[in-house]
Amino acid sequence: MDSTNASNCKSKGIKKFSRFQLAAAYKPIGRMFFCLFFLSLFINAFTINNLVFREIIKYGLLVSLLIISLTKEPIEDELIVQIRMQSYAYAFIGGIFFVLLQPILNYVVDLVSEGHSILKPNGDWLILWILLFSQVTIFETLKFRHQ
Amino acid sequence: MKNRLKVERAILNLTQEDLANKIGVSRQTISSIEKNRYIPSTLLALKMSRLFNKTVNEIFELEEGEF
Repeated sequence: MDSTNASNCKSKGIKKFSRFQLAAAYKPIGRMFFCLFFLSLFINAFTINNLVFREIIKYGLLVSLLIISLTKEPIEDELIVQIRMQSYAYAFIGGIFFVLLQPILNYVVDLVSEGHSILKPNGDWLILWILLFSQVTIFETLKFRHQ
Repeated sequence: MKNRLKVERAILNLTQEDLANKIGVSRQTISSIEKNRYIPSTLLALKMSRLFNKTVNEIFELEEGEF
């Protein structure tokens, strides 16, 4: 295999990987799981407050947001692809701002909740959650504006 | 960029939905192009050009100061 064929093969592989998306039917499933895990987060925090259960809920929230984020639209045309790319870019920039503002947010949340907050802004989980949540929200907002 | 998409569509008596189905995009995409909120790709412009039997330049036109 010469170098041109090898690079063509590689770029085809990258294209195939970057185009990976779930079928449109997965979106309601992702939304349903997101709502269930989101409710469970608060129920757990204000009732049993189990740490293992809390970890499961955190990962459940991330996976359900990832499902929503990776799901195709019924008609996945070039406008949707552009909106999707825009939403990933905005979410990435928003994530950087969040990390920059995190020390201030930590201080404010600690001050308000006296160190007992369930949503204390720290850890990789929250950054990933904010990235995915803002991507999904921005995507839906931009899509709505084009209607 | 200005476009005559709405006019060309009216000449062929096509709804946004009909046009969208013919060129394989969503109705929102057609609506966004007509409202100048989205500039289509060359591929989509060529598809429209073939459908309307007009050149791309006859459908899409640069505005003052865009060149």
